[in-house]
Amino acid sequence: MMKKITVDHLARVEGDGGIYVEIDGDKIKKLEVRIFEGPRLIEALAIGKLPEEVISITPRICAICTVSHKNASIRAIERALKTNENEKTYYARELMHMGEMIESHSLHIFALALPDYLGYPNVIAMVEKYADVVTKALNLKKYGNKIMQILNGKFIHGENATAGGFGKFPERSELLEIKKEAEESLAFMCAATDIVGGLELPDHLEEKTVFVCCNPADKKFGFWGEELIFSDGTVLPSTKYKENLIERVVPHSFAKRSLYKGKPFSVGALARLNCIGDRLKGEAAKYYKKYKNERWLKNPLYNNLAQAIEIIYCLERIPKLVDILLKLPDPKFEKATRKKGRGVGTVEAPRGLLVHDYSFEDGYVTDANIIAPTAYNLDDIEKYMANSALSLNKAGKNEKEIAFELEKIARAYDPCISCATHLVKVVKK
Amino acid sequence: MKFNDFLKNIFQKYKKDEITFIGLGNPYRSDDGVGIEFINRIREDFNNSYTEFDNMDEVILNLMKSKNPGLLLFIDCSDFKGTPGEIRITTYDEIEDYGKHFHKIPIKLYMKLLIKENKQTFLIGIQPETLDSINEPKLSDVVSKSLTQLFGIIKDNIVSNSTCQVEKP
Repeated sequence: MMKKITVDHLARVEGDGGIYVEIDGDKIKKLEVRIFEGPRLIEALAIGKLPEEVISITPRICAICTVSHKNASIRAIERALKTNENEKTYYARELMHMGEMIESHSLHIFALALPDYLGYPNVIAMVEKYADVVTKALNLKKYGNKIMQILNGKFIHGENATAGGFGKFPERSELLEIKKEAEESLAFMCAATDIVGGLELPDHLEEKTVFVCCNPADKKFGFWGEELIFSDGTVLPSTKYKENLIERVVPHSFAKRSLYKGKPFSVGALARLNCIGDRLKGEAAKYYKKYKNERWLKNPLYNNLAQAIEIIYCLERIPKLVDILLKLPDPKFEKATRKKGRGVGTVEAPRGLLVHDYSFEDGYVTDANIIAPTAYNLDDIEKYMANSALSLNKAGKNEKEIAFELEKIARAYDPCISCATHLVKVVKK
Repeated sequence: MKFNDFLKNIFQKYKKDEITFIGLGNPYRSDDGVGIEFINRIREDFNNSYTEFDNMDEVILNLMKSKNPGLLLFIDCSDFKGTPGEIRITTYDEIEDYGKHFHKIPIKLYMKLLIKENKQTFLIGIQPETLDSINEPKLSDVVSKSLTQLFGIIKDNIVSNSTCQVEKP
């Protein structure tokens, strides 16, 4: 008997999307993650603009990962126009990036994903039993916002960070405040990671996939790099993303899809931990070792646990960053040394690999390409949904039960649908 | 109970610095900006007034931590199928459970957490006439009139209430 499952609006994700599945016996006739969010045409807006304009325009793609887009944009521009990145600027950008990781991950784990596993319809219902956890998670989210506000001027679409440096570096007292709060938050996050790590995750969807993330220099863990590293061992210069992560268009979605060696792949916190998690140190390494298992390579539901471990990493890294920043004098603003060239900025947004790629002529953008993590993940999301729908159908689950499990998979990826919809090119022949 | 009496009753229980107003909405969508406009008007007399753009998380989490009793009033444009400009006080239980929220914390979560901490919280909703976002969006006449009425009632209640006396400069 044919079963049709429709989720008109995916709940607890950023943006507007839905799921449609047709199951015919032991076959999936159709499975579509539908993206209704209209294209933002941001890449087209970037054409003909100056670098400082592009840095302000492109992060407008999304208010959730605005700092990741800012850092990716800056990195692309500085590489295209050969601008030096001094030490203090580098570490201040890293600190700013961590603000976004903490804000985004804490919201996703505790408010959006955890209700699925603890048997609540939403975070509001969770408050009855988990008020303390929810309150502390909101405090953590607030802390992430505070870091972004101090470093970037505002926590959404700040303008303090730009190519060549910062308009203003944070005051000593602000940095010390950031350091203190990181140290105070660590104990909660370790305890919370045990809550997430202790969840029983279903295995009916499991299938091995390939994971991809930035490969930070010097074999360190981190959120950007000049190379991409794959869980199959491949390492490539990030400038080669286009030739290796092949984009295509599907009719049911405003977001493009990508394949690696003809197959879907995953990006995000789980990808980072699967590819470079063995580089973690301190408490983050302890939790990584405590919970890492073979299922991480085939079950995207572990992404929430990976996010929790990444928050621990950030909370341990922040005091070190503050100490470094306090020792360094405010540098002069770095200037571009040329007006022509191409630059690729690859960073890890909370949801995974984010690419900004610009070409310049006479100081103006002539070509722009931005690929956000959710677009990379969509094929794998559909693959895992197909696995799940088939197994659950075989196990006699009804449409409503199957739909809930499929939504859980989508939410585990923490999709940002607004970001995923980027310009679809129409070629007339 | 009448709207005016209801507010009078609530305000009598609290000192002025225990009452917080948070205005929600988007001023670029005509009547959706009524909460923000309310805060803009009341701010001069009332320090604990914030719009949703003023670190709302921080305001609420601090209020939760406070040992003093507290009252938090959200002001927002709300579609409760009333007549445009109608004002209604809504309690936590009357707000629909909103499972479809994205990356913005729903006010119902904040209300729930505040109630858990023995604070009082209500939503003052104003039925919009238009949510037009083009042609220089502004409050409709009917909503603007209601806002003036609401502002007057709240100010009168705070001023007339000895506990909630507004400090004169």
